[in-house]
Amino acid sequence: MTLSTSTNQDWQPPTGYAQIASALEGIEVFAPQPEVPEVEAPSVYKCPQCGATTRYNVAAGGVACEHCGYTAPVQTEQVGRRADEFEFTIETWKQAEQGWGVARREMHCESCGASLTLPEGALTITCPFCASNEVNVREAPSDVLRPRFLIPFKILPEATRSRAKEWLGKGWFHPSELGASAVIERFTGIYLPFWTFDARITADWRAEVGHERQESYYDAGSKSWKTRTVIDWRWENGRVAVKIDDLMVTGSSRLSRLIMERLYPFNLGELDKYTPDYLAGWQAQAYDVTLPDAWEDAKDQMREKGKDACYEDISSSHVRNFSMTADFGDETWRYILLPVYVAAYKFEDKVYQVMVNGQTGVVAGQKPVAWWKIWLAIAALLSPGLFVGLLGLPALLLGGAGVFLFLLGFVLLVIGGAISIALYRKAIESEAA
Amino acid sequence: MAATNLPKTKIIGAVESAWGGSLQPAGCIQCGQAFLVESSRIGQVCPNCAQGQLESQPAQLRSEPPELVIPFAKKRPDVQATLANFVKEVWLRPDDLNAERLLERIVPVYWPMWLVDSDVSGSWKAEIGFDYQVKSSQESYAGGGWHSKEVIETRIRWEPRLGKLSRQYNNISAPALSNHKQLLEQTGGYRSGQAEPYSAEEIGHAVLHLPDLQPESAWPLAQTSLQRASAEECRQAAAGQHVRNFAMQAEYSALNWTQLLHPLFTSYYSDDQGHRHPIYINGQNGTISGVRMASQRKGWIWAGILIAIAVIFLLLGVLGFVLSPMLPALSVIAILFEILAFVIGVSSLIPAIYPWQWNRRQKERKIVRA
Repeated sequence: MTLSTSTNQDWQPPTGYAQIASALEGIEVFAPQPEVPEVEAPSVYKCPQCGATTRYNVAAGGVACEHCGYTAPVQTEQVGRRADEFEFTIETWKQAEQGWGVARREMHCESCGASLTLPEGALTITCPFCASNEVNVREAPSDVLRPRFLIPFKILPEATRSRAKEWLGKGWFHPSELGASAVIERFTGIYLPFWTFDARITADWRAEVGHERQESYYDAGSKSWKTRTVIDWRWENGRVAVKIDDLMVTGSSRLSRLIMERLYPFNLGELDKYTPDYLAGWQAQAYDVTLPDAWEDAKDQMREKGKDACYEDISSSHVRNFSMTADFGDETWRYILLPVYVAAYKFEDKVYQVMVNGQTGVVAGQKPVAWWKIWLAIAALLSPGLFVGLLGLPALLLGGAGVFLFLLGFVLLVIGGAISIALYRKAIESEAA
Repeated sequence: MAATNLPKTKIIGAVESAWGGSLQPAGCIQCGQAFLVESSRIGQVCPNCAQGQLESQPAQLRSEPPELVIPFAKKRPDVQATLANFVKEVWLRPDDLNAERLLERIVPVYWPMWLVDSDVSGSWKAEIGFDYQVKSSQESYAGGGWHSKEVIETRIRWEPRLGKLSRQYNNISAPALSNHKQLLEQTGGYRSGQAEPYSAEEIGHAVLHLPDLQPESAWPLAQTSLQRASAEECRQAAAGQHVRNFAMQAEYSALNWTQLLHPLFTSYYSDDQGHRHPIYINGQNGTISGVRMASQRKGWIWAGILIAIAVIFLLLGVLGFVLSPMLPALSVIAILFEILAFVIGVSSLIPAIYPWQWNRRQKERKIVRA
């Protein structure tokens, strides 16, 4: 405590402080003025020079006019992984459970006054009457549930098609003509919602752990002493601490989660503070996977990581009756927008989905499979085992050499089978969305 | 507020009517404490330290009487039972450490604490803590499945607050004795809500312990108490649940110093060496404290008795062995006697060592409460 006896009659609160209600007479209370939410009204993007519609230009790194060349740099700040994280307060939880809702879907074009209806989940719209680009994030039930951070597009839209073509041309089990003849529609740049979660897990485990021990015993059959391995089981326990940082869960249920996860990783070190400028002329989606649902998903993944850490803590691979309790602490979440290009392409009258990571350029999507190549490869993988095994069957009559051939065939068959299964699964995943 | 503006105390001499009663100032040379006592108590053992004697002497005294007094809630029978329990835990205690003698020497004492009234005006700043709740989880894995449990945790959000303050504080406590903290620890504290307005009749025959910290010396401590009260009120004003890093620039005016008197019974006993040890009993809740010494002299006596018994058994055993050729059955008894001699001989160590160990622990524990 600081003690002072000096008089302070002319005391004035410092700037940035405002008087608030006091519960006691004779005591005045001043608190820091609350931050006024930066985005209150929908932002309209019109060129101040020529009046044409402006949009965010990846190459220019700012809002640009395609007609007169006017460019305004985006005023923001890169915060990276220092971006604010929020706790799971009871209030936030209640608000988050409401989602974005369906209310206030109507907005007025600030440019021509037309009434617009935002598509479900969309944060941006282009006015069909005056072509103005508008950005609106007012619909969130609370300020914290608005996107606060995003990674802007780094990959030029023009580069997406070539990257996709290159990606389509890769892989031996796809149709050879895929890269050349696939008809790719125009890529759409879209900011997709993601949740990131942090947590500290303290896990206490208990299990019966088996420790191997060599034991000598007398074999009455061979009348000799032999050695065998026995396992001594004893109860053990331990505690592990796991720190999980920025575990990502998609906030959109509209796009293939499988493909989205193949776009990972995003470099969250390049997170910028949200500004509507980045969204001008681009599509952006609000989350439709609510925070509680996303957290349940994240928690499932986290507890499995905790379980893995417990198993790593156990000094033996022999474990039974395993149980654990994981206490979660310091749980935080963040709602961010990440850049993704989305397109569809046609091949042999079927439509497939393809996406490009707007930050790193990684391409992922559905790829048709030339199944005849897969079956041929599987046949080639299984045939050595079958051939040697079949050869070994009559040779079994000859004794030792036959047994060796038969066993070799069996081993080759098992190896071929395992590779075949992996190949088949990869082919299935390649087509899956 | 400069210390020179604080109210002055005056020095009073011999017998005079102080605070509505016929008490006279007295002091102890050993502990340097001053008291107001009935003249019959002059020459008695000091109720504070039990080392010196009360001698008539002038004392610094403020003219206005104390404002509040916490009355004695414990009466003589209660104290007797407390003392009996206190001493019975000591094995091999000195003759002087018994409940009857302690009760005979009981002296009721009121010890003081300053009560300060002040107007405080100035500016303040602090971090105010607001409780909020978060949802957390506990996940359990057993039998191949997961079980989730929701956990609600309360956390504190700290926010800066500042402002102006103009408040009046009454009866803010400040130490009036230099051993204030020690006295509180020894007596287990008091419930000041039971205090009553001072009256000479309430004091009766009790000894009044006079402050050895005058307002001039106690002011910094009083100021800390005032600031603590201000911090608490600022927390309430800001509607928070916690406060930290409180700082205040204030002016203190309309200062008024009075006293609150706390009831205390004191007694003493002498150990083997004749050293007197004081015993304190909280007059409100009966908490008793003091060093309880065991008698090393008694320990030696008991050890000697046991050794003597052991020697007798030893000699009887030897005699048994000597006579065993004539009467073989005696050898069995002789062995039993030798064993008994050994056991009793070893046991004699217990009374010899016990007082030493007990007294060592008592001295290490500055405060012994029962």
